[in-house]
Amino acid sequence: MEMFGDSSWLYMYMPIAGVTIFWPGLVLIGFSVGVIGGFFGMGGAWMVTPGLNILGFPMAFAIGTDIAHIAGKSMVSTMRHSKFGNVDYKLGIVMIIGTMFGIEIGAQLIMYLERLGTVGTVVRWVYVVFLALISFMVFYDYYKAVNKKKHGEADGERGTEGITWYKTLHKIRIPPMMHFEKAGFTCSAWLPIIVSFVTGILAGFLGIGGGLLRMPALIYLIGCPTHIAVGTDLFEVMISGLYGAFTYTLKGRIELVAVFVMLTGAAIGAQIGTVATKYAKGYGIRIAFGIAVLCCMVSIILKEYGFAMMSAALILGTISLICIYIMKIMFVGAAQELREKKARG
Amino acid sequence: MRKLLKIGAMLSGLLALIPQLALAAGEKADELIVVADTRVLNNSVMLYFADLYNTNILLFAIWAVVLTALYGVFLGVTMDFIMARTGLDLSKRKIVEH
Amino acid sequence: MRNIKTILLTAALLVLLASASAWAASVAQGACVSYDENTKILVLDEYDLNFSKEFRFGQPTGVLTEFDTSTAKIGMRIEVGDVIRLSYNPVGDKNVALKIMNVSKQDLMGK
Repeated sequence: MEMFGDSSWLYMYMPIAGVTIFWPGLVLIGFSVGVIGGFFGMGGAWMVTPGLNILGFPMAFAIGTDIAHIAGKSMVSTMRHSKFGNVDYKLGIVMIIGTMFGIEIGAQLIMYLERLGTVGTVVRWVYVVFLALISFMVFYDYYKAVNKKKHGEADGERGTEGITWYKTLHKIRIPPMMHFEKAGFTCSAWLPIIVSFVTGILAGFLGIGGGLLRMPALIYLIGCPTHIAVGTDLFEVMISGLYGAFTYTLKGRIELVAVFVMLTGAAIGAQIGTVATKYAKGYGIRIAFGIAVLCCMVSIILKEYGFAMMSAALILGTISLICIYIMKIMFVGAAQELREKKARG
Repeated sequence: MRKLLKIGAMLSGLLALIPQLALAAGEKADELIVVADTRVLNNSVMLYFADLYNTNILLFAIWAVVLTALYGVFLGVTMDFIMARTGLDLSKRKIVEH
Repeated sequence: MRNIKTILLTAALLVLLASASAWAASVAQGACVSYDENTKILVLDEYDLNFSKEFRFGQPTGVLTEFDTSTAKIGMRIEVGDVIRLSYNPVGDKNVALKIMNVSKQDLMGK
C-alpha cells in the first residue's frame, strides 16, 4: 500500500494468503499470459510465478496459483486437440505416472524450501537461469532464421530430420515394452515415464506447464510425430495442471480468487493473441519477445535485492508494451480483413 | 534443436543442486501453517471458501480443482461463441496454447 | 443418457456443497500471553481489526482467551510474545484450536 500513496481501491484483499494485491496488475498478468501465450504458442506461464511474486504473493502461493490457472487454461485447448484426434491417450496415460510423481516431488521440494525459509530466493534464482535459457533460445532461433533467409533455404516440414536419437532409445528393451498406436512406435514404457517425470519435477517446482521441455522431448527422444506431440503434450499439461492445483491446494498454497481473475484475463487475451498470428509478418516480434523475457529476468533480480517497486514497474511495463504491440497487429489486421470482406460482399 | 536437450540436461542438473543449496542454508524444519483470516471477510462466497480452507482442506482442494476446470471450460466455450460472431476467418489461426 | 449424467453430476456437486456448509470455524488473532507445553493451553491477548502501519496485525484489546491446542495442527514453535492466528471451534466451555499460524515468525509478506 505504501507503494502508491492513498489508492487503496486499487488493492484487493486475498483471503487466504492474507496479502493485499494491486489487482490491475493481476488482471494485466492474466491478460498478457493469454495474449503472449496465444501469439507465440508457448505457455507464458513462465512470467506468472515471478509476476505474482513481485506483486506481493508469497512464493509458494505464486507457484500454486500459477499451476492452477494452467489447469483451467489447458482444458479447452486439450478438448480441441482431442477432437482432431491429435492425442495419443495411451501415451498420455503412461506419462501421467511420471508427471504426477514429478509434480509431487517438485511441490515437496518447494514446501521443504519454505520450511527452511529460502523458497523465495532459491526459486527466484532458478527462474533467472530458466529465463536466461529461454531468451537465449529465442535469440538463437532468430539468428538461425535470419541466416537461413540470407542463404535462401526454405524451412523443411520437419526441420529436424537430422536428429533420430529416439531410434537409439527405442532399442533399449527394458520391459514392459509398449506399442503406441496413434503415435506409431514401440518402446520401453520407461522412456516416456522418465521424460514425464523430469518435466513433472520442473513443472511442480516452477509452476509451469512443462511444454517447453516436454514437447521437444516427445519429438526427439520419444519419436512422436509433431502433431501428436502437440496434442499429447497439451493433455499432459492439463493433467499436470490439475494434479498440481490439487496438491498445492492440499498444501494450502493457492489463492483461488487470483486464479479466477487471471483465467478470465487469459481467456480474452488468448483470443487476441491467436488471431494476431494470422496477420503477423516477419521475425521482428521474436526479438521483442526475447527482450521481454530478459526484462522479466531483470525484474526478478530487482525483486531479490528488495527493489519491489522498480521490479513491479519493469515487469508490468514490459508485458503491457508487448501486449499493446500484439493487440495493434490484431486490430489493424482484423479491421482490414473485415473491410475487405465488406468490399467483396 | 539439439540445444533444447542440452537445456533440459542443464535444468535437471540445476534441480539436483537445490536440496544441497537448501541444506547449506541450515536446518529449520518447522512446517508453515496458514490460517485464512475470516474475521475480515464480508463476502459470503469468500467466507465460505476461507472457512473451508481452515477446516477441511481436502474438500477445499476438490472444489478448487473442479471449479478451475469448469470455469476453464466455460470460458473456452464462451470465447469460441463470441469469436465466431466477429466475422473473422478463424480457420487459419494457430491454436497452440499451453 | 446425457441428461442422467448431468443430473448425477449436479447432485454430486450439491452434496459436496451441502456437506461443506457444516465446515466453519472461528478465527482469532493476538499475542501469545502464555503457552503451557504440557497442558497445551494457549492464552492469547486478542487483537482487534484496526490494522495500521504501527499495528499491522491489529491493536491489543486486553481480552484474554484460552485455547486448547492439544489436537491442533501447529506450525512454527509458539513462544510468548509471538502474534498467533488460529482457527477454533468452541466445544463445551473449551475453545478447541484446529490450525495455528505463527504470524510473526512466518511473516509471508514480501517473501
